Amino acid sequence: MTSTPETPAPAATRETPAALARLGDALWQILTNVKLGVFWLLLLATLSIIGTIIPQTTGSIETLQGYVARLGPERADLYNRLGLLDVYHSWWFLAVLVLMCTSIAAVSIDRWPRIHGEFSSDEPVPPPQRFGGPLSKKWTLLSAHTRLSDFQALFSRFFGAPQISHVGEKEAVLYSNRGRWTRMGVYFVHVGILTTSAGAVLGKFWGFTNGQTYIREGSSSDSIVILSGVSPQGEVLTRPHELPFAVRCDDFEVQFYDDPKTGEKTRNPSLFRSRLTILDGGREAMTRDIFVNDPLRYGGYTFYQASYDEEQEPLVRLAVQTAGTDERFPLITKINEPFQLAGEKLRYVVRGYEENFEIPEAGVLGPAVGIEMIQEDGTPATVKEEGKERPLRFLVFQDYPDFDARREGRHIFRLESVEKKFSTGLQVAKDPGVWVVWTGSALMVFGMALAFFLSHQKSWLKITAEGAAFGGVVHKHRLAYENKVAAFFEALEKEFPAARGIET
Amino acid sequence: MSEATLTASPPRPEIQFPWKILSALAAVAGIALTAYGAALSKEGVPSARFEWSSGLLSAAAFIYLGAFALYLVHLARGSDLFSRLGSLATQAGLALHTAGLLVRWTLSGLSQPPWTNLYESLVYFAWGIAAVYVFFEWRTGNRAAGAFVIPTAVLMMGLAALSASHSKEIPQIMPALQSGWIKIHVTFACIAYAAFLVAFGFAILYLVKDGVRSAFLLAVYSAFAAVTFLSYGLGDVLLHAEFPLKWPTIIGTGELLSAPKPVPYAGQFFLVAFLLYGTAAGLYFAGKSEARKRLQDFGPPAFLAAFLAHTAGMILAARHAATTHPIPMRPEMTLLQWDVNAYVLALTVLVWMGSLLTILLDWRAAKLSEGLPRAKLLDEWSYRAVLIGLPLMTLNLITGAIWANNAWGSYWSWDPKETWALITWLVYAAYIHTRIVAGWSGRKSAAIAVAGFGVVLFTYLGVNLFLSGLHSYGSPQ
Repeated sequence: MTSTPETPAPAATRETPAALARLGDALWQILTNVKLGVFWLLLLATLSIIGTIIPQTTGSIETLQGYVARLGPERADLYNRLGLLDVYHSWWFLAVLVLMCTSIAAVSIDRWPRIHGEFSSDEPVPPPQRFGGPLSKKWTLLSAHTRLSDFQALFSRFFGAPQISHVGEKEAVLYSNRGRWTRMGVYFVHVGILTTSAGAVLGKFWGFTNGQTYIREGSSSDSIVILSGVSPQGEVLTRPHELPFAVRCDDFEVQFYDDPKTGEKTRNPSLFRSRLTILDGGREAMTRDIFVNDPLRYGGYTFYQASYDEEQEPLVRLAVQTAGTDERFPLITKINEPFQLAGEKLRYVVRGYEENFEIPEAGVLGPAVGIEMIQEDGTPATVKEEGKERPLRFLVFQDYPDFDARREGRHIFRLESVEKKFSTGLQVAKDPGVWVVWTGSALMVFGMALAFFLSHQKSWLKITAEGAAFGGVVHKHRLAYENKVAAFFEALEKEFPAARGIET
Repeated sequence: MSEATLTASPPRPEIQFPWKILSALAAVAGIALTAYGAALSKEGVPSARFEWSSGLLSAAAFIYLGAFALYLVHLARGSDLFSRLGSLATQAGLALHTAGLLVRWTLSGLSQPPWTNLYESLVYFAWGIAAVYVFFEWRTGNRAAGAFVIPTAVLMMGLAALSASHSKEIPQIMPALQSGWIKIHVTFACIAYAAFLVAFGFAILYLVKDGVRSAFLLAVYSAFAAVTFLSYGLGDVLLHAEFPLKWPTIIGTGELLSAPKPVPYAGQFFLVAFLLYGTAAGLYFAGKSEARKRLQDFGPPAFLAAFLAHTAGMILAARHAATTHPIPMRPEMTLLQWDVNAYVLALTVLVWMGSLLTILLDWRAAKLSEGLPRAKLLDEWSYRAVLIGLPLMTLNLITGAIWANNAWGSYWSWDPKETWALITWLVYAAYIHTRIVAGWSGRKSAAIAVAGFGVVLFTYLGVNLFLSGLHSYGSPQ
């Protein structure tokens, strides 16, 4: 840009735009240099290595707490500020990413005229030099009985249906222009990378992935907690987040594998399942089971099955029979919650629960609860036995219903079941950029397929009264095209035995 | 018009043997063995079908070993017959391997693909290597790269064979792995890595054909061997500051046992091997100047000595390992029957195989070069392999991201495995850019293809050995 001669400006201001333009040109030169692009690729690779060697605090609160404990708050804070503990979100890593994207964008703009030119260049009437290159050959055809359609059929077998581009009185040119989209492959790849990056930015600023909530079976929640980091002292920092709807957990289930040899249950979980209901505006908008690989998506939020919690106080279901009668009644109680039975002064309390009660000599006896009898003031009731005070305690087994009858108490207890309530642990994410990322990814793969597996081939066969001439140009995968051309020559000479090649 | 063709010149007419019929027979046998195995009962532990599948996989491992030997003979003697036999053996091994994998797949009622733990992953990656290699052999008609590609498959099958018996059973996979994406994600990784390995094989052949001094290759390889030894010895040095006293514990230990039992003298031999590899590299580079050129003459003998020490250490370790048993009370604590970290073992054996090849290469470079097609073709083939590998690597990253987005709640977590896969992708992206835009080819491109494979190796084995992360399914612990 130069200033117009009609409006002479002071020397200083006239020079400045020129200097700026020169600077801009130089900058553009640097930005569009492919070597710089490769440098960014390798620099990014090198910087990425750092983060795999130093354990990163990305998504791992424990790691940062570990650093704080080991290095002390000041040094941990310093390392954190330098980005060493979270390399991939440090300013310098992001700077390289931005610079690389800038390079990609600049190169794409810079080369567009050239690449678009190559893409759209059509040469139905070839310049003469097309028949003189390394991929060309000339023949004299001694037989006068050959028809254009014969050439057409042969040509299309190798190069696709030709365009008959130039039919004069004495000559015709068969022309094929194939695979020009390969020129655009690089654009699809690069636009794909930029799109993916844009999606990542979108997710970073308008989304989150580390939301958490625990919901008890049967209850619902409309708020979650987002883990936002760790304080210099190593405390987990969170911020609350209100959902525009509520989530209810109807049911949670964890299943375990059986040992293939013994048939016993192992501790390897085989399945986690939560049945969730979305309550939107007071109505049940959706009910769905979620699994580890199968989250629920609603209103822009995604709920993942992440963990679970077992309730500490299970519900104990007992069947109580008054001794000497057939009278039996159900009783539901909780651990450490005393209850009284008719006709007894002492009270009962379930003290503990074992899912799989084990006695060294007797083996595994299945689920059991321990019941204790207490006085009205809550102190354990005791009985004198062989001069010693012995507390009144006994076990009730689910798998051995008649066991308690042997105690000869006033009531006989049977354990029906112990119900534990679970809380399902959900990870909650809201990432508006994720579809942008998938679009970018699809563009990349499509672009690579175009760029790597196609080649732009232009082929011409000129047929005149005296003979024929072939010319071809290819911009990559030269060897494959050369093979095809060689096979075409062979086929042509076989089909038209009178053809004589002329050395060019 | 040049007479160049993508395929190499046809075999000399005097060998008129029905090779193609034999290849077809191998394929038919593979189908028959699969059908027979699938018809067996899958009741009982271990079931007849399970035994059949394991038998096929073991047989495949031995056939690959045979193929490697045949390719080596081809390398040493330049005989077409041996490369033909090696090729046939690889195809037969692949047929059995495929049958073994398919039968194993039927054991889970097809719900769970046979690549969900370290043992299965090793077997599957070996399959990918053999399959991609056979494809390239068919497309290019060249059989010389087999000597550089097949040993990797042998190594992986060998490591798989050494896995503890419980890990060879059909694994009970954790909920996070129960996804359809495991099939497609791991398959892309497998084929992409195999394609990069083939690119590496052709790159080495290119360098030989192009007349790169074998002394130089030997020096570079020595440096690689020394660094590898150092890298896994480094753990003991940095963590325990007991180098070289603790050196023997790197192999035959250790980590998984409560009381590490060093292998007597093996460590010392490895230490000597490490020092000699380093010396061999050092002598070459020190002798670069005209004045000290004589130093370079001592490089190859130093390398040979390093190789012998390496071999001796491996024999001692193997003898020791043969008498060591897994911990009976805690079967989940050891992965290998040899109580050796799988990845340390993998690297030690891999470097040993590489040394063997380097010695052969140094000895017979001229002979090998004679039998190779022209350098431009080898360069082109290496490039083609990268062109197949890079899109598959992209798909590997993308399918991994889609899966992670469903399982981990985020499509990208900067997990070390993920990050190293990205690093691999970046390196090959650099290869493509230098090649297409900056016009690199030949030696420069071959150098990237060789170095790139080092990165692939680290991504597959090294990450699990040195780094921890979410992809811990493949970890020995």
